[in-house]
Amino acid sequence: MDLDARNLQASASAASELRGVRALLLVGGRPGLERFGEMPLVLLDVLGRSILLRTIDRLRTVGIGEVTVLSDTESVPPRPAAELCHFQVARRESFWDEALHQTRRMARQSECVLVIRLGGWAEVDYRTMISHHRKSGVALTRAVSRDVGALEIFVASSNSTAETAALLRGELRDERIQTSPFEVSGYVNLLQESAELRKLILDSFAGEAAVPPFGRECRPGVWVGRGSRIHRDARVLAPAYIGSFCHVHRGAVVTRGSSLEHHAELDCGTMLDGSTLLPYTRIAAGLEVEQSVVGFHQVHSLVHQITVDVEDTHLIGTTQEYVSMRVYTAAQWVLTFLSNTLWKFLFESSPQQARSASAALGSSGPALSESSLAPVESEAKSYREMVAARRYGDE
Amino acid sequence: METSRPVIVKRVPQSLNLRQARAFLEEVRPLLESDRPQLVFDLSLVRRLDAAGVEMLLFCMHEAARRDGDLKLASVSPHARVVLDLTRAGRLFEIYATSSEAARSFSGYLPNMVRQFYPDVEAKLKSEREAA
Repeated sequence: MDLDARNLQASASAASELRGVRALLLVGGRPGLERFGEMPLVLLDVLGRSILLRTIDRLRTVGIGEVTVLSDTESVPPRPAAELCHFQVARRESFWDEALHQTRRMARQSECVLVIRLGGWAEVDYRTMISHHRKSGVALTRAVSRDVGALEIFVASSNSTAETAALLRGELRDERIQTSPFEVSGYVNLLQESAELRKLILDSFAGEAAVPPFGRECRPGVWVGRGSRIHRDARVLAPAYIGSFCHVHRGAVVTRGSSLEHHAELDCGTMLDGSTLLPYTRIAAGLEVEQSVVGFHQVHSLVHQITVDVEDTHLIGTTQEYVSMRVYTAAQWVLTFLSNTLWKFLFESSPQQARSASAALGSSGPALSESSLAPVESEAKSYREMVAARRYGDE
Repeated sequence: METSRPVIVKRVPQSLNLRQARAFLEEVRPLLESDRPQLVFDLSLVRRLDAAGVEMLLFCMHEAARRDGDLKLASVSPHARVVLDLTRAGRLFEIYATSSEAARSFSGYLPNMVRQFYPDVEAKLKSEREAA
């Protein structure tokens, strides 16, 4: 028997070993943390695939048959496919009760349940962790990272219902519950804020995190998803990721580890520098996005450490997934433009055109015109909000 | 070099959308139309700034520059700063940490950029002024 055949047999036997194990992925459960706006970061695409789907991929690779996802927020469309997992949305107030209910249901059908609160990205060897749990014979095993400490990843035996219930009632934070530690040496990113999302992307580009970009590497360090359009006059500097169905217009620049997730659009002349555009985000022409995460009409600036709502669609807008909606939006824009132009043409006087350079140089400047030399009325209402007026000399 | 003209500090409202920008512009128009206006806009209260607000700021700067005056920004809130950076308008203005610094800058000889990169020159000039 050759080496490949032996490896295949070994992985098949390992996969069959884990067929009796079920996994419960909890998304949310910590209000205000690990989110961009209202959306949990793990539901957002990172280089073409969300952390949730990437975690499911890892679980399925080691042979865990049934995966249930319990989220307190509806996913960004499209939802994960039914053949990958059972996706359920629970109300925030009953999230942990529902988690307990699901764990009990799964424990009845399997020898142990892998409970993962999916706040960030952790490269855990689940097969080894479950083997460790079986050998130790304890009720609960907890993953502990060398770098960041205890993770919210547990293996619970089916017969230890009391410990599991206590663990979930304490929202996985009760330190009094005895667990057996399992050391994790792989990459861990807790994704508690948007800055850590950017760090994960840069680490992925650098090859430190096993989060490969989903797309074709068209140039070294530049990945492009299917259906995306990049104008030939746009500049994309490695490392960069352009997701599926993205549109990079003429003169746009994508640089310093930037990424555009699916259906994002970068208009003419806009620069994306060390930033991430979340799905369905459109950045208007001539802007400069630097060290930021942009999406859902929000900008999180990593430089200023602040999230700002930008509701002006002239700056940040949204794109449509469906062609019919795109056509409708474009038609609406054209109609508005034409009606505005017609109105200006009919009712507004055109601005005075600049004279020739020689005439302009020969005439006195506007500062010397009579109107500007006229004294300003000091009783004007507009002076009310002046907070300071500094004077010099003996005035 | 000092000036005898007043420096006027104006506090910008919390929200600067199209409507608010127009109202604010009407308020500051008399100031802009004076001879060589020296204005400081205090943006510490600004929590919402959109394209119309940025355009209004640029218009004010343009109007002030047309009359040989200047418009400087002070105490720019992080919200305003993000939008100014996004629209690349931030680099067109002189921006100061406080209104008093901005007002003082009108009397200084060196522009802000020179002070930033050559702090020794500023200190030397200051000591010379004190000695005189």
